[in-house]
Formats: sequence, C-alpha cells, structure tokens
Amino acid sequence: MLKLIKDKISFLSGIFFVILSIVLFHEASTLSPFGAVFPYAMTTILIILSIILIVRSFKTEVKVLNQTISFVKIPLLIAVFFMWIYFLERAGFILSSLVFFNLIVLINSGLNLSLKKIFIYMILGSGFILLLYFGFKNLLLVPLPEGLWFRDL
Amino acid sequence: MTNIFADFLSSLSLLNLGLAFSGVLAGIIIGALPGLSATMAVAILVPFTFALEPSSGLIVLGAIYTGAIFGGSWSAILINTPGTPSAVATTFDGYPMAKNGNGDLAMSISCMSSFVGGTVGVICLALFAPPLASVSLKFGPTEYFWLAILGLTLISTLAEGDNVKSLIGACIGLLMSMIGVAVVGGDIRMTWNISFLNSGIEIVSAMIGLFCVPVILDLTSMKGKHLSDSETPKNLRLKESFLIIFKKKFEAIRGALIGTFIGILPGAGGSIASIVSYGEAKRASKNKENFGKGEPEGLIASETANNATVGGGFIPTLCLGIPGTPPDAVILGALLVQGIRTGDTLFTQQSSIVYTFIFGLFLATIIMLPLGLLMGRYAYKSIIKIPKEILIPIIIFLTIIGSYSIQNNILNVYFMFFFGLVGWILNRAGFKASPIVLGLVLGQIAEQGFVQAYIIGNAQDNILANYFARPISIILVIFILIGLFLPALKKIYNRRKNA
Repeated sequence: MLKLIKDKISFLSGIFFVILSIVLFHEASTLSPFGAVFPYAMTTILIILSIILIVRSFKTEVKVLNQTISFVKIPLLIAVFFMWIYFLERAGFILSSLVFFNLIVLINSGLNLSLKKIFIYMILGSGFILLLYFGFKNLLLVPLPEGLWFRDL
Repeated sequence: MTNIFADFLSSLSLLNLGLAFSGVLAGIIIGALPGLSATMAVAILVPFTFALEPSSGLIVLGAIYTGAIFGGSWSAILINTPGTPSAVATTFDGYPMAKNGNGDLAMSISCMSSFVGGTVGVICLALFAPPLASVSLKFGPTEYFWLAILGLTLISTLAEGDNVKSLIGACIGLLMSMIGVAVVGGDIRMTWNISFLNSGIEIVSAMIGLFCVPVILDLTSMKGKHLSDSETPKNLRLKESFLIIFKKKFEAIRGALIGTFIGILPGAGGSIASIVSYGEAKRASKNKENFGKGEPEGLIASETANNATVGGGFIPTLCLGIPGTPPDAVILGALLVQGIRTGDTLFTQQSSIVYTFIFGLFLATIIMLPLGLLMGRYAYKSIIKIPKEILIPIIIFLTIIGSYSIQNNILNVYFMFFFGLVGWILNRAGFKASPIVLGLVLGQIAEQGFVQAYIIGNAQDNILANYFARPISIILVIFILIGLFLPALKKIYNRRKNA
C-alpha cells in the first residue's frame, strides 16, 4: 500500500485534514442552525479537497520546499523562543528580553564568530531592546510587562 | 471654485504641512512593524487631534493612515512578513525580489506604486465621492460572500505552489475564523472550553506567527547571507523604478482603480483589493510565469491597490457614514467628536473641512513619495548589513512585542508562537501561509454574507436564486470559476497542443 503512494506528505496531510474535518463537522452538529451552516459548508469542502489530495498522492508527487533543517539549532531556538515568552511576564520584558535575545545570538553564532563580535552583537541588541522598550512605553503608550525588578523604570 | 481654491491653500499652511509630514513618518514606522496596524496608529493619535482644528486633526489622521498602509510593504519585502494584512500580496513578489538582490528596486517600486494608488484614490474621492458611494449600497450579503470567496480563490490559485493545498489552506483559515462567537446566531464554537478562545483568534497575532516564525526557522537553518546584495548599486534605482512603473502605467492605474472600487465596499479592505488586483495583473500579463518569483508587475498591482483603498474607503465614510475599513471607522469617530455630520450634505454644507481634508490626504500622499524612497533605501541597506546572527533575535523580538501589544495579553504571544510552529510545519508540507491568513481575515465577512443570504433566500423561498441569480453575484461567480478552472484548462490545452 505504502509503495503505491507517490507523494507521502500529501497523503498524510490529506488524511489529517479529513479527520480534522470530520471532528469539526461533528462539533457543528451541536450548534444552532445559523451557527452551524457555515462550518458544515466549509468542512464539507475541506473533506472534498482532502480526498482530492489523497487520490492525487497516488498519481503524482508535488515537490515541496527542499531546504535543509538544522536539527541542533532549530530545537534549541524553539525552546529558547518559548522560554522567552514564558518568562516575559514573570521576569519582566527587559530582563527576559536581555537574557533570551543574547542566548539566541549565541545559538545562531555557534562557533563561527569571534568572542569580540558576539560581545558587540550582544551590546547592540541590548541597546535595541532598551530603545524599543522606552519607545513603546513612552511614545506609543503600550505598557510592556515590567516584572518584579523594573517597576520604577 | 474660489472656495475650493481657498481650501487648497488652507491645507498648505505650515501647521498642516508639518502635521502631514509627521503623520506620514509615524505611519510608515508603525505600519512597517508587524503587529502594529494602521487602525492602532490612527486610534492612538485620535485624542491628540481633539486639540487641533477639525481639518488639521483629520489631515494628521489621514496622513498616518496613508503612511501605515505603505509602511506595511517594507516588512513584506524585507522579511516576508506583511506589516499590515493589506500587504499580504506584496510578499509574493516583493520578498523574492529582495532575495534576488533587487530589494532596493522593490522598495522604490513599492513607494512609487503606493503614490500612484494613493493619488488615484484621492482623485476619485474628490471628484466622484457621492455617485460612487451609492455603488456600495448595491452590495448585499450575497455579494459580500462572493467577493470574499473571490479573494480566497484568487489567492489560492495565484500564490506560488500547489492549488489544491492553497485551497485547503484557505478552508483552514476560514475554519479558524469561526472559533469564538458566531457572527450570526451568537453560538460559541470550537473553543473546547478555553475561555480565551471565546473572543476568537486574534488575526494579527496569527498573521505574525504564520509569516514570521517560518522565516525565523528557515533563516536559522540557512547557510550564507539572508538577502543577496551582490548586484546592488549605490543609488535609489529611481530611474529604473520610474521606467518600470511608466512602462506599466495602465497596469498601475488599473490596480489603483480596483483598489479604489474595493475600498468603497465597507469591510472589504486592502487585503481583498491587493489580491484581486494581483490576480488581474497576473491574468492579463505576458510574464505570467514570472509572478511569484520577483516580478515587479505583481508588486505594482498589490501596492497601487492597497494604497488606493485609503481614498476609496473614505467615500462611503464621508458620504454615507459607513466606514470602508477599520481605520476609517476610527476616523469617523473623530469626525463625529469634532461635530461633523457625515452624509450627502457634507460636501455642500461643510465642504470647507471636507476639501481641506481631501487636499491634506493628497499632500500626505505626495510627502510619502520622497520620504518613503529615502527611508526605504536606508531600511533595505540596514537589513542587508545586519548580520543574520543578530537579525534573527531582532525578528523574534519584534514578533513578541508586536503580538503582545495588540491587546497587552501574553496569550496572544503564545498563539503567535503556536501558529508559527504550525505554519512552519504546514509550509514544509507545501501549504503556504497567505491563503490561511486571508481565510482568517475574510472569514467573518464570508460567513456573515453566506448566512444572511441563506436567511433571506429561505424567507423568499428561493435560496439558490439569492446566491446565484443577482446581477453582481453572477459576475463575481464567473470570475471565481475562471480563477478556479482556467489554470487547469490551460494545462490540459497545452498538454494536448504539445502532444
């Protein structure tokens, strides 16, 4: 069966969207007629399109993005990105941004850059963070999380 | 006539010139930052305008709006992330141009096209506002539904990549727009008992995530420079840009007229306008195969249309009191606070304020040209010079600050992150972000039109006729069918011809 499939990504995507559509179609059955009419229509169209995708995956392979993935940098970046968001309100905007911004500089620099260059990037980045923080707070009047340590800034 | 000339002179006062300049400058910067929308820029500054003369206050608001719509193209060209939803179509050719080392040309073309679009929109506003406003009244729920579907089918068939996957993406976007309270009926849908979802998915945070996060992750994996600058000469490439626009003058004016017309339709906005204009440009172009790979004509189509919606959107706002776009709604509020009553008598009884405002809008469009060209050049040069190691955390920082500042809510940042990861996975499976985002943007318009048309048709005992037998609907359905089936029919025709 698997050997017959020429485009495995499309096949799996099609299966996923068929299941998703069925779940959402079922969910719509609990709604009032006005609330359900559009979800019914859209999930039906999605099922049809997904079936077309599945059927097509047996016939032709559609080339997709062929860019390599860095299996070290990407998981690290995703983890730091998430931690930045997680600590944004807890540690405050300035502290969390200074820490995680510079961590991301380190992740992306790897071992390719000299310590001096990394240090310059960190200083520039920190200046940029402080500039935007005060710009947002004082010019655009967008209050950013202050955390426990920067309430008086 | 003498009065209009006096209004023109009044708009040229030093104060008004200064206000228009500051407004355009602030608008460009705010529009260029993903997450900070034109509506937000206008809304922040409304209270400051109460201290000004009504016409001066309106000039500064109009200038911010004009600048913000243009500014949205910068991030679309430089980092593949539309600063405003109306710049989604700008990413199709703007970013590939930047990647090919023509980012400066793209920035200049975008500015000149925005100038053409803005000028045509303002001229239509000044000359044809009352008759054009009546056109918007001919659009009922059915027509809005088909217009939204037209936008979605066009983006699905025009965006680079697989058409079926793009249509699936549009459906996913439409389904995402249904999360929360239903626009008709008030049901709470697809929230899975998460209270934050009751208010629906915040479009801008989803847009930032879907466009920005895949770019960040791909940049992280990419070896070498993020943008090519090998062929960049040290000038603004003004002559080249001007010649391209001059060569495509009819296409530019067509894009501007499409933008003005769609801008007149309340709620439709710049996102549909730029997509429809892009679609029309691709359909009519001799260089169809270059669209999506860095074709300047595609950029011209998108940018003329979205800036023309500024003038177009003011037509129903001023003549009917119905805002064409969300920033128009904020400006309408400012008008009412200033004691200006909108309606067909506005152009006769309070013509002085209206014409000073229109001239001010024109002034802002003119100021945008040199300012945008100069600033755009430096923005492009800076983005090229910034090393990738520092550009990635800067983009991450902007995604966080942009999604947080929409409602000052951390949950929007989590949503941005979540949608970003989903967008990256989908992107690798061949599903593009633009149809999903447009589905999300147009979902409510489409659903409201669809359900209301259904209710009206049901009451008239002829549902199908209400969808398919109205004159404007028939035209829109024909365009949708052409958009859906023409590429496939052409493929079959070419295959047979070659065989």
